[in-house]
Amino acid sequence: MLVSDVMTAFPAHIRLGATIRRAAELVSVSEVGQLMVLDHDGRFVGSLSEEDLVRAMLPGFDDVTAAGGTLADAFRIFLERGRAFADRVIDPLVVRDAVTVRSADELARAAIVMIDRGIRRLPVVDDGTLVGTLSRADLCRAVIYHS
Amino acid sequence: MCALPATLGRDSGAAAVVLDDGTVSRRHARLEIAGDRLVLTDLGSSNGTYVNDTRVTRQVLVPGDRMRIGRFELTWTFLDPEATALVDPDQMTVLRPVGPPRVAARRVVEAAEAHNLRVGHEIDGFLSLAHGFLPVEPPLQAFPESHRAWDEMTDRLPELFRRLSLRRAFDAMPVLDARPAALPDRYLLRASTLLGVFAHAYQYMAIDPPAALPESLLRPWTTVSRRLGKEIPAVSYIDLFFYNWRLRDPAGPRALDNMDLLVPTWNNSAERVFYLVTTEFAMALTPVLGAMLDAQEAVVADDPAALESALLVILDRLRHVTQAVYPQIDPNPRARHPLDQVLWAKTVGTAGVPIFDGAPSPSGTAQPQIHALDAFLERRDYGSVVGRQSTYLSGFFPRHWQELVAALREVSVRQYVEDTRNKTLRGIYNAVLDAYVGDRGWMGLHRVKTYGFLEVAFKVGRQVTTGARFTGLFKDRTWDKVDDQLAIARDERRPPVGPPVVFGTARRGRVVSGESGAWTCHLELDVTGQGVHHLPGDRVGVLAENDDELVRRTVAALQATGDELVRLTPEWRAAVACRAGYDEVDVLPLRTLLRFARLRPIGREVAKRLVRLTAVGSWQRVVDARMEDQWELWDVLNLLYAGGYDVTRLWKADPREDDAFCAVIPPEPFRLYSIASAPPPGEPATTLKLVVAGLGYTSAGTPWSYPRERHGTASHFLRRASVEGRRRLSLQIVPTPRFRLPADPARPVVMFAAGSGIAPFLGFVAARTGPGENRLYLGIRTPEEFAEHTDLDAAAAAGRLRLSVAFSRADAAIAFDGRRHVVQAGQRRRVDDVVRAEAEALWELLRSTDDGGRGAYVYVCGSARFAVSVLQALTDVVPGDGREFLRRLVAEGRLGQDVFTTYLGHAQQGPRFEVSDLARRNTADAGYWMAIGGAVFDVGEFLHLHIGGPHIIRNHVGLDATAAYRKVLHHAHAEIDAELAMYQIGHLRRLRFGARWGVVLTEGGLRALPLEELFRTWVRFVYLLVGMENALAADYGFTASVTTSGEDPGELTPFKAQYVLEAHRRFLVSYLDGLVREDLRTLWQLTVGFCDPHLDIRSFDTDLAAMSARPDVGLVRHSVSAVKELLLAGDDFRRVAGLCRVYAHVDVRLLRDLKTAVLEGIRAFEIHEADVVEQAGATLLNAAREALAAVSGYYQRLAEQTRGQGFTDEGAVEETISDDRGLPGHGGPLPLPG
Repeated sequence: MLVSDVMTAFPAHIRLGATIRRAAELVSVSEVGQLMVLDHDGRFVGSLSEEDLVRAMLPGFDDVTAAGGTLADAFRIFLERGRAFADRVIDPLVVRDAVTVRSADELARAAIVMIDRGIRRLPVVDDGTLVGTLSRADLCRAVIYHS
Repeated sequence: MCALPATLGRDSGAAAVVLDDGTVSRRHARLEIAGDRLVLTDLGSSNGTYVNDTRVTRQVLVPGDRMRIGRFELTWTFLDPEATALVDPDQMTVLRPVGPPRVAARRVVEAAEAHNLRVGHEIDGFLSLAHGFLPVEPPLQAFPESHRAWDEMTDRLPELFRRLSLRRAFDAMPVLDARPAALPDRYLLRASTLLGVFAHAYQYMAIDPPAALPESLLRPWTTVSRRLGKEIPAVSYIDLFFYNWRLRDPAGPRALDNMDLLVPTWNNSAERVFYLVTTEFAMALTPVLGAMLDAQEAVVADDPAALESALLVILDRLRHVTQAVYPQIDPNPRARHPLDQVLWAKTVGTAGVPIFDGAPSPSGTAQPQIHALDAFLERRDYGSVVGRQSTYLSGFFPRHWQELVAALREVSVRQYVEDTRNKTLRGIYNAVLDAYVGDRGWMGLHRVKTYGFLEVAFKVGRQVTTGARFTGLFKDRTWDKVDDQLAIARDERRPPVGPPVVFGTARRGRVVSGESGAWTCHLELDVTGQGVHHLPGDRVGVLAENDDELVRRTVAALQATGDELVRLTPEWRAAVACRAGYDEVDVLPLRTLLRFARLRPIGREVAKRLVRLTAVGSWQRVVDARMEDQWELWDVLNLLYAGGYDVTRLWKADPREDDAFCAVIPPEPFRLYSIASAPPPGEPATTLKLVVAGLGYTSAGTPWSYPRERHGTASHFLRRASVEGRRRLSLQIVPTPRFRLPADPARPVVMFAAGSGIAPFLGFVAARTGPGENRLYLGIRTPEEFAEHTDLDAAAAAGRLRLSVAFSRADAAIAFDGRRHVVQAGQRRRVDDVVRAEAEALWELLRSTDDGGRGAYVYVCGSARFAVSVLQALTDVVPGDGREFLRRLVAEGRLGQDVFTTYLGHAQQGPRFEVSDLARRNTADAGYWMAIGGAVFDVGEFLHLHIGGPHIIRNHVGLDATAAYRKVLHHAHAEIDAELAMYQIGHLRRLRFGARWGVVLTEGGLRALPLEELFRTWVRFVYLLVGMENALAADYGFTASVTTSGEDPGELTPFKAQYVLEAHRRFLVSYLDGLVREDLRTLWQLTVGFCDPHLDIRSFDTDLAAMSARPDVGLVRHSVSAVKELLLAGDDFRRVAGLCRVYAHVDVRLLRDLKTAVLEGIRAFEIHEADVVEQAGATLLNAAREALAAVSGYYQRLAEQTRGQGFTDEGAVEETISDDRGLPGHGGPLPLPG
């Protein structure tokens, strides 16, 4: 079975230069943990994970002590940072050296790299163009549920 | 070897034995049997045939005759294949050239002896066959009149030390001339020892080093050192140990009891015992030198029998020094030569550290015997820290020693042993290696002993060994680093000759069964011809194999066929190499692997490993309930498979992976059994008898286990071997130096045994043929279990043995009818009942000879429960303080225990204790407890019996000592590990925190932390406090010891006072600062995260800064150096003494207050467990605050007292701690003048 047989063909994606607010909106609407990122010419450049979005909002030790030093302060800053970050661009958070597969790859090949590297969703890229994504759920559906 | 008759001659065509020598005729002589005699006939040779140097024509030969033909000498041996396998027929060489070959090392020794005799002194190195590396002439006891001033100083050092007035005395000593004209060569060694000891006394009298050595020492010491070829003046191993003794009775033996120090510094017990035992150790090794030469010559002469006897001398000496001489350094305060480790650490321990930078030290690696043995045994690798140091120090050896070490490397005994493939030689060679570097040999014992000494020493302030520097804080466990280095150096000595394994062949045995189905198997193992030299009481380790049924079940549970090949880990490879026929294997079929693996019961380590690997909940619950020992591996695998774990991973995984079978399951270890036989003294054993009790039980039916028949692996294996016969077994002889018969054959011996515990006593009775009385008390259940032993019958018939048997489940008794022991009617009772019934007679036997008794040696062999009951009964036998009597019995070496674990299914675990219970038990009033592997032990009595002394035990009471216990391999030595059960009182309760977690803010950012981890942080903190309390008690306890000879232990001398000041300063810097600024701060941060989101995390830092800024704190920390100055000035000692008492008191109190505060928090965890944050968050925070408040109160109290003694903060500064070479304040080394 090939990747193209089971992949999700119209993946949630975003372009470089978009705001973090836009990214958060997409994550919540599409209910995927990872957005595919394209450059201005529509070519695939990498991915953006919701984990990195959240992590960016978590304050460090110095941030907390500068703002009062209690855990309650830490929780407050977390919210404040969210608001402050919303208008910034996503570019610094994009992971650019993402592992990809081709649509003609064997499905097992994709499964192995996902498990080995702890990847939840793989970009499917043919000649620099994003053609879909392959998630663990896609794999389970194809290999177990439909078998 | 040749068959008779045989012709001897030069012609290979005509003679059966060809002698390649021009002076030998072509057909020279004939050997033949005439009647039953061996006859030698000369065949008309040109140059004659000689017997015992007389020319003969025809001669009947008798054993011992020497025959000579040409340059060949002929020895002969009859080989009777029935009687001996000692001589391998391949090795028989009948002919060898006349005259022994002299190896290079022999020539060195002979040259050295001749040289020393000719020049009349031994400054080029002590070396002789009679005295080894020690002087032939005992150290000189006086100088000529011109140097009397030095002689006079020797007796004054202890007093000068005590009053801290030593430096003034040496400053006033005249500067004497040490040049050859004034001081002849003959006196050089005495001068070197005296001046070296004086200089070191000067240097180390006060904790602060002097600016320089006085002229009166420096000038002559430099001169003497240069004359001895030492560029930098330094105390050498010779100065401190080989030339620092004198005989009390000049005609008496060179042994500890007949020696004093030539130049004592403190002349305290630690100095005397430590130095003189080291000296005696070297003396006792003297015969090794000659034996090494003999061995090498035997190799050159191709004479296996001579090599065997030479190696046996070395083996005997190594065993003697490690098992009899070395243990005289005894930390037991009741011992004959007690050595207190704290006293040692603060006086002798660092006295040898070189004064000048770059000078060689007198560390243990400078012992010439070690270098000689290393060369003889062909150590190649010197890459470790200790190894490099060793090489460096040998560069300073005197000439003769250097030459000897080099010469010993010229002949390879090991190669010869390997090439001849002679089993006897190989067995003995391996035994020599084991006695030298094995876990229970010299280096192994040294490592354990050193570990104990260093741990105690480092905790009371020593941070330097004589050889190298290791520095660190209290919690850094510096002594572990030293120990690791020793372990590496020991491995460097181990050459690749395979493990010390003996292969025994099982003979058919007999099995005795009781009506309950319990059985005992008596079997014999044939070990003929393998050089097995053991003593009565020793144990033998047996490598068992799992039975086919168990292997089959396990293969099935692994979902394999059994033919799969599994690659071995290094640990497994080493273990498999011990098995007959598996020398060097890296791969085994799964089925074979399982035969050799430890498949039952599941040990704690393995259980936890399986939890980590599989995350199967049902197994996790079994392990949490500590019920894993109710399971066998195949059971568990089935459970894990049902829980979703892929069991095939175990045999498919690469051996480097965590889930590879070999990484998860250990190989079957050697199981120890007491040897129930004794070879004649000095001869190798041909047979080892064993008494094996069958182990069978039914596992418990509980929520975490199910009932099933279980068997002991080793006992059933041995039973099968005894039934089948002829099976080859891998064995290892394990010496038991603490379970030895008295040297005096007239001493009475009293033995107590339960069940198969009779084993070692069968060996004892066989060996005790002297006049001494022997009593054996045996406890068994029923008459069916009573096995007849002809040896016991014979001993009783000869009047040498009184056997008394207590039947616990039958109304019967044993009587001796003059020929054999027979069962008759009697009362059921236990051995301890018999002891109480015979109290008077036993007391008479046990009482010390000094006290009018007979000084019997007592031995107990059986399960832990049996041992406890007998010892309890014995304390009742004693009028007065029975426990104290037993403690003395142990200290005198008159009580031997051989305790074994008898697994009878899952024991009732007994009471559960809390950490807060444990942490309180570290004082004489509260009692002494410790935890090892989750179990709790009351060691209040044991600390008096511990071979390593009470300090080591006291260091670990009130806390979890598992790591320390394992570090010294106690867990791996079954004979030690089994004794633990005698003191177990219950288990630590495991608290349940569910999956509770919280958020904490640390320097590393925001983190989610399991509640259990918060609890662990609290426990670690309280254990740290308890460890500090223990160390401080030892540190201040020093003030109650006799530190210099002739002092009242109750007096606080100026010498002791300086150590109190030092301990206090170290308490402030090394204990308190780290404790508050790091550990308490972390505790606070984590606790705040869980308990109060509205508390500023920095409030602790703020409070701490405010406290530190208080003048009280400044005064406390700055005044110590002022007090020290006052002490050294020597004017107002009363004020100093007053403050010393205050320091000792308040420091101890602070730790107690801190512990009280922290235990409040720990209690809250124990009461509320998972709900602790909701129910008692405030209590936790409060406990942490109280801890800081205790520190604040401490500074306040101490400041008041300091002010009260008239000290102010003006102009004082806190001493900085230089990153020096050890004892804080001992400063850096002196630069070498000019």
